[in-house]
Amino acid sequence: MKKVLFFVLAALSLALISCEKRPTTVEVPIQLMYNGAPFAVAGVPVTLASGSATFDALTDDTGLVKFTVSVGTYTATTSYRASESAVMVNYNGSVNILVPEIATGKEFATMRLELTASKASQLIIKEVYNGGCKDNAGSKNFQNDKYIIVYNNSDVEVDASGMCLAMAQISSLVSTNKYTITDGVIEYAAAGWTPASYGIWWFQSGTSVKIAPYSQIVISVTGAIDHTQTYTNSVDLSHADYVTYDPESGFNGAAQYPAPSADIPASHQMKTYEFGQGTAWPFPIKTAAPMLLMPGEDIQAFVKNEANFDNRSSNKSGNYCKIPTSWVLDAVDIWGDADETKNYFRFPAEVNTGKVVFATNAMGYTIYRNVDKAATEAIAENAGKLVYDYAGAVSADDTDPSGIDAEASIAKGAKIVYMDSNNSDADFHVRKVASIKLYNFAVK
Amino acid sequence: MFGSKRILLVLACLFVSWGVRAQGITLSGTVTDKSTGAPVSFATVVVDATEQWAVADAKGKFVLRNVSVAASIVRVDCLGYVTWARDMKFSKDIDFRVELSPDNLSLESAIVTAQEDGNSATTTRTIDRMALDHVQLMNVSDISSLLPGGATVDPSLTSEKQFNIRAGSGEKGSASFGTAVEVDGVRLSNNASFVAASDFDNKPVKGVSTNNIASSNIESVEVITGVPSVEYGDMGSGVVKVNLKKGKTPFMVTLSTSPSTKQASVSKGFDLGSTRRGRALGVVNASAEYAQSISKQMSPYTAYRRQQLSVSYTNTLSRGIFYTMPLRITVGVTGNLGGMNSTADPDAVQGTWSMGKDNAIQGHFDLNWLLSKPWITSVELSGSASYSDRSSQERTFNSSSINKTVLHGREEGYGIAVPYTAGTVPSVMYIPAGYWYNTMCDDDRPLATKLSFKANHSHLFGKVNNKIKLGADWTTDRNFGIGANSPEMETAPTFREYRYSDVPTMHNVGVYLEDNIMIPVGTGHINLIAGLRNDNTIIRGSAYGVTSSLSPRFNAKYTVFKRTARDGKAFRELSFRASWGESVKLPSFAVLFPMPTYRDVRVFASSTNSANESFEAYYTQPRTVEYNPNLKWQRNRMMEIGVDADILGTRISLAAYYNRTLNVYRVSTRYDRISYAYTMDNALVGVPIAADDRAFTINPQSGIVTVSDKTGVLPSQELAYQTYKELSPSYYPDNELNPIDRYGVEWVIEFARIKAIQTDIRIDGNWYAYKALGTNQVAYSPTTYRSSKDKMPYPYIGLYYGDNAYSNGSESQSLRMNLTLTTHIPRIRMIVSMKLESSLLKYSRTLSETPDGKELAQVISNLSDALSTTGESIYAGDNYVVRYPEQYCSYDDPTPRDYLTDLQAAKASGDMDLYNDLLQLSYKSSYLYVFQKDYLSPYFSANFSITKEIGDLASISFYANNFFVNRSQLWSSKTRTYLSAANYIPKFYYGLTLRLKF
Repeated sequence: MKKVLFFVLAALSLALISCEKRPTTVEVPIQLMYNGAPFAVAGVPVTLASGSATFDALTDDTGLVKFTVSVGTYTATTSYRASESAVMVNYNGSVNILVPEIATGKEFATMRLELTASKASQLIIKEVYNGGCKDNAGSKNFQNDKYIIVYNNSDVEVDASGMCLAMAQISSLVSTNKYTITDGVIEYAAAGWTPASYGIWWFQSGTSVKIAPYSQIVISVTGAIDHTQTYTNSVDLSHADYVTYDPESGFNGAAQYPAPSADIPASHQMKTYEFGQGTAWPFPIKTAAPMLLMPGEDIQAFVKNEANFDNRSSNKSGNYCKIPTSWVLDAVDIWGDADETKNYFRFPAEVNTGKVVFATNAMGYTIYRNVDKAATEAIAENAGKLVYDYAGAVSADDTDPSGIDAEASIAKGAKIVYMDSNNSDADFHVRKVASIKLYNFAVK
Repeated sequence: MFGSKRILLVLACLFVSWGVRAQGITLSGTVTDKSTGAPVSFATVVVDATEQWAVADAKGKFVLRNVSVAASIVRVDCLGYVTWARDMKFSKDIDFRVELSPDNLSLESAIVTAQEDGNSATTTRTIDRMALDHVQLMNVSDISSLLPGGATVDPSLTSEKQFNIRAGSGEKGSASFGTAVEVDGVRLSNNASFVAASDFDNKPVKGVSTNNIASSNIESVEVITGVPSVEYGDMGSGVVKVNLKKGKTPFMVTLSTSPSTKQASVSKGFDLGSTRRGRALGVVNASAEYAQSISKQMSPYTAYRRQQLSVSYTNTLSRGIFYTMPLRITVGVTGNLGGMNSTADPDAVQGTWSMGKDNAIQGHFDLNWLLSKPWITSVELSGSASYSDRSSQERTFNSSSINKTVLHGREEGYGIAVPYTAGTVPSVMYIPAGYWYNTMCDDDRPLATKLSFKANHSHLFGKVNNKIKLGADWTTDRNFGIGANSPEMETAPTFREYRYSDVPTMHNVGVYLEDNIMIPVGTGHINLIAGLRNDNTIIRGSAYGVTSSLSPRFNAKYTVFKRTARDGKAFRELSFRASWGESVKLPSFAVLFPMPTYRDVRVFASSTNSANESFEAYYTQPRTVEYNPNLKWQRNRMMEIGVDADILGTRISLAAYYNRTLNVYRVSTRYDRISYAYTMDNALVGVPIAADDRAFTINPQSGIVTVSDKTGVLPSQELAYQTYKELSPSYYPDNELNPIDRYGVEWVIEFARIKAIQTDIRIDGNWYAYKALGTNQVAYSPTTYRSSKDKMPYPYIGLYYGDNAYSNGSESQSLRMNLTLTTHIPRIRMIVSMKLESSLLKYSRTLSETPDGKELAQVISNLSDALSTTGESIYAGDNYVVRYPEQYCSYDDPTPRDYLTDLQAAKASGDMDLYNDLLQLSYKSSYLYVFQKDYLSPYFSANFSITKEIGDLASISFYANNFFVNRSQLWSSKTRTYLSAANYIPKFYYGLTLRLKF
């Protein structure tokens, strides 16, 4: 009897011991980390995968996510995109986790998933129409119909209320360059700033400017009216979303700034502080260098502070506002010809390299951004909406290599992702017809 | 000012000597052609000492009665002949024969350079027909290249050219305006021209254009660069007298061509013969010329054309009552049609063109009565009128995608743009959007007249010869133009009617007295000339009223040796001369009555409706100040010393001069406080009337804008406005307080002919220096700038010593030298000349200082920091500089405040709005070298001319300018860069002229 009792007790003991050492699942907590600190963002998706088994969970507001999984080897990954000041930041991280058997009463130590960030501007300059056209008689140029299209190149709505429009030195010609270039690097690049000339335009305070994914706003730089009533080769800017028009700034030239169309609310008139000279913001017809900024401080106070200026001439034409390069969202360097001995690159390399050559003005040509073919085709809902065999470029040698006719595709409802390699050579081509002339404000 | 009583007193004293009778010697003789022996009719015989004259009749005979001196140089002139001159003594009546040599290249004495007038007590040079032919003159002002150190310019008529005596280009004071130009006694004047007003600030008016003077009809040009006779008024420095052809001549045809110019002319002097009683009927000279000049050989359609017809009549009445007192009559008229015209240019926008007329008609008469009385030698009455049509027209093609507002109102007040309706021109008008042509005209038709009377008396006191000249002239300037106008007012751009013809006539009455004494001393003589001129300018209907001014002038010349007395000696001629004088340049209409200016402020612009209409409202205020009670007439003070010598046949002429121009005309600016109602564009926010249904009106006095509903459904609504304060500039005629100094040395060395190679060598040159500093207090407000604080109109005025710029003046020097080699081979009637023109020194420097040398601008270490002054001299090395106004004031506080103190305080206190606003009044230089001395390396240009006569029938001239095609690079010590010599010397250019005589 004692012997039987002994075996029963032993079996029970084994059974009890066995239950304690081999639980069925383990809770695995994972803390997202960025730059050595917790990435305290709620809702960040984290995937824990082992073979074909995957587990998904969202972080709480401390950046912590917990999985309950069986013992085994797992890979935790996360990829998260956030819109921060009109910049799309991609956070990515990956870590391998071995989930061992855990004794009952013990907890699995919290794992750290380190994130790395990569940034891409959501706001890009999609188009620059600055060369004008011929009048109906074909005898004179009409060039007070300039506009710029700002585009949200992401699938996330962007708040552009703080965005500013500026331009670098107005000419790309070496002969007019006020700065020295050493070993191909322009003087201000190392100092971390980029010169803005004449004035910086901002939206009126209290104006909320939000741009939906793959949508745009048209900013009329001059003449926010319907020019096509007089100049059939020109464009209709009477429906422009915003206008650079601030007669109280001193930029009040009658030819450049006729009273905007009644269809454009007065609140959509951008404001500026003229630190250059003249009665118009002299956006060049051939050698423009526009840039979009997201200032890191109050831009209105910034442009009144003498310490933020570098004066390179006797008058205000050479008065340059030193824009921190980190503020620049996007920029385009437009040259009148391709001669690199006569022209220079106006932006630091981290902002833009390369140039787009705009050799012929007053023909209605426009500078248009190329399509990112892979990214655009990767958008599932674009299936059947993309139009190929693009033939809108002025020159076959300088056309959109994607072959996608962006504007025709947009008209069919496609979402276009444009090239944004920060290289104007690769990102732009010269198009025969201004986009708003073909598909007038089809995209909002 | 000099009172008329004092003038009469002076005159009375000078008349004391007039009671003595003359000797009454009669000179008679015959003038013949040396080569043919034929009589030369219409030759003029002049006794220099008394200025008595006679004209040879058809048989070449002349009689000169009652000659009151015993010795004098006697000259005989006739068109087409070399002047004959002899130093003669005549104790009794004499009869002599004069043989004139035809003026052609068969003569040893042919001259193709400017010649010094050895008899003048001041620097005077003459360029005769042979020299003019040799250089193939197209524009008479191009003879400046023949003056000492003169530089050849491209022969063209497409740009206006003026004479600029003893002055450089781009200088203050508009020296060309002060150079008097007379064509056959007709004074050309820009006084009444408004088109000639060029540089509003520094040069209120340019000198007269010489483009419309037919160069083929010129016989000679006399250039007085020294102190001229008081006979010449209304001038600054320098007199140019152009003498047209007069006298009997064969038909003369000239055909000239060069890549950009063409010229054809024909002229003849007709002897009208005599009556049956033998009374000479005189000579008629007629000349016609066509000249054309283009500026672009690639597009030879826009051209300047000169089509000129000139007729003159001369006769001498020497019979009957004129037997002993001959009367010479000269009457002439010249008409020119021409100007720039682009109507034929196929490269222009279709239907557009421009025309700038250069039409002129000039008439003159001269009655010279040789009385030869003891109390008076001669009297001369002359008159002239010069009427010009310098109107311009331009037809333009215009377009606008929005209705375009234009302004024509001249009254103070508000107006909103309304469309043009026939018969009325709204003050504020709009041209509908679309396309339109318009022709704008500027009607400028000045008339200058002159009537002058002159009496001459000469008398011999022993061996002392005294000549007195007493004269008066009355000149008028007025303009018959109606100014800017358009025959298509419905599309006319902004302009304001300003009828030049409403400007009152400017009269000037000048009286003068000059005494000229010649005192024999040893083998030479002393010549003293003293003159006084009184000008009284009368502008009726103007606040300027009557202005009187005095111009005293003195010349002295001591001739130690006369050439005529020292043939064969080494030192053949030596004379010294000195001159001092003042001259007064009358103001132009552009100075006295500046073109009105208007301050036009766009005070409202409605948003653009669907028809592309925006209704703009303007506030207009006339801004011209027409009268400055302190305005003084511009005055030139001239000094000159010179020496002339002939050593072993080498003739040397040297002159040093100093000219100071006082009270230089300028246009100054003042600021007045104005305020107006300004309706911002957001005033329409919330207005329920649809944009296309809105109609706007503005109260002309209050400036309140009312918007009403065209459909009548919604009530009218007054728009909110703000009161804007603004400083508004106005302009008034003024004088520079600080004089302009010009000084220099001119020399001419004509070496004795190298007979073996029949070559003359001439070296001429000049050293010239100029300095001008502005010292006026200049007010300036950058009215286009908006206040940093509140974006209101800029409220501050800077007060600057000298100028509202980092510099207030400049200095320059130049040294030019020309070498001319002239080979003349009379046997084959050919003359070849090569002229090497050189600039050995070309210096200039920008200045920023007071006359006593205190620097105005300051060195800064950082161009971005206007306050980083270093205390260094702006002239020492490369520096960025800043110029502050000395003081400033504001709209609200007109009391001047120290600028720098407040600028520093604003920065220290962090008041960036005030700091930025005040900073707009400072000027900075963007280049490090602005105050560096600029020496341009020497440069050269070689010109070549050849003239060959083919018998008496024809001659051919050819020239090539810059025939070495110098395109060298010149080093500028200021910018430290190379500049093309093409900027300073004429391009390679050539031309050919054929002349026929039959």
